[in-house]
Amino acid sequence: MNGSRVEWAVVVFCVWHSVDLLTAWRYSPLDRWGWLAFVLWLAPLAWMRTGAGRWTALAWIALALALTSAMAQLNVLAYAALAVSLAALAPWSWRALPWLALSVAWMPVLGWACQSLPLNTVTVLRLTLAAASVVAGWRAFRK
Amino acid sequence: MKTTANNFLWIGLAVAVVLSLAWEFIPLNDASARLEKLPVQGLGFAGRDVPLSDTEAAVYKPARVMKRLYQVGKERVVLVAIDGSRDRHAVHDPLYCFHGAGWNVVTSRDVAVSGGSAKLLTLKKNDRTVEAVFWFSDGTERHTSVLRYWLQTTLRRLTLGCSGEEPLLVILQPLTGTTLRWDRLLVCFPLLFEF
Repeated sequence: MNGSRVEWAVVVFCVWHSVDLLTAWRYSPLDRWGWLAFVLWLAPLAWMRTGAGRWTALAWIALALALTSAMAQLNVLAYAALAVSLAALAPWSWRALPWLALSVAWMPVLGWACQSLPLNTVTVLRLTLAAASVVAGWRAFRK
Repeated sequence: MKTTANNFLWIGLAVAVVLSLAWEFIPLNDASARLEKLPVQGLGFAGRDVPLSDTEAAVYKPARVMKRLYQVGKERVVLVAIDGSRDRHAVHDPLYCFHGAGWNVVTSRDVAVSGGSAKLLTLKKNDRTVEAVFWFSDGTERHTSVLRYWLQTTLRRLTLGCSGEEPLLVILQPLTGTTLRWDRLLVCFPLLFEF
């Protein structure tokens, strides 16, 4: 797996500030199956090239977002920080940007933005975006 | 070069951890005083505090929540006021919560109240139709925008309370019947819309 120890430590810091994700996935009907979307979104990291160049700036961006989320009690920033911190472990290229953007598939903000849609439609949309993130990640990270 | 970059990142991480912890321990002035200003009894209305259910207590903890049943003329309404000073995550977008609980918003309109507006909702679930009114209040201005609430509370936390008062989320629902005669409430119990 890519990533230096400090980059993994940044991921842990972001996970710390993202624990409310578990509550949202468990209790919020609009966020159900978010955990599956998260697993699907993570999957492309399993086949990324090891040892390829990473972009340290991403770890700094994740750190800044997580710190701001902690100070402002704004979860949406914590989840964005988690996504960026995980992206910092991967070999970065601009082709990975769609994959990073599709991290919205596992975030509660998707449920909030689509709250006027029927619950099942939100779940289908969430999993469709997660499936799209697998394709985008495969294109970005394939060896 | 790589080692130097990593060392800087370690330092940044250490600073972030310290600041995160420090921010949790710096107390933020809450809205208790404003909540306590709302009288339990007065001319034309009488109320009593209602304990939170176990689920409500679990959802709102550790935020301060006032749940009160008021009789105003023939109207019986339940008021829930949530002060997220201690935990802003306890305050959710009411529309998001209603949708999540399976309610469909049939109608939604703004109604004028002192210092701004409140949102009057007609909600439907299966064969049941009810009304609810909600607003965010910083004691001076009242509005119905959750984005504005997030902006207010975010600025407040980043400035350690210097940017203004903590907005409360206030929700009113009828206890009996399905409709809420909010216009009568405004006349008979204006204090309800002023704290």
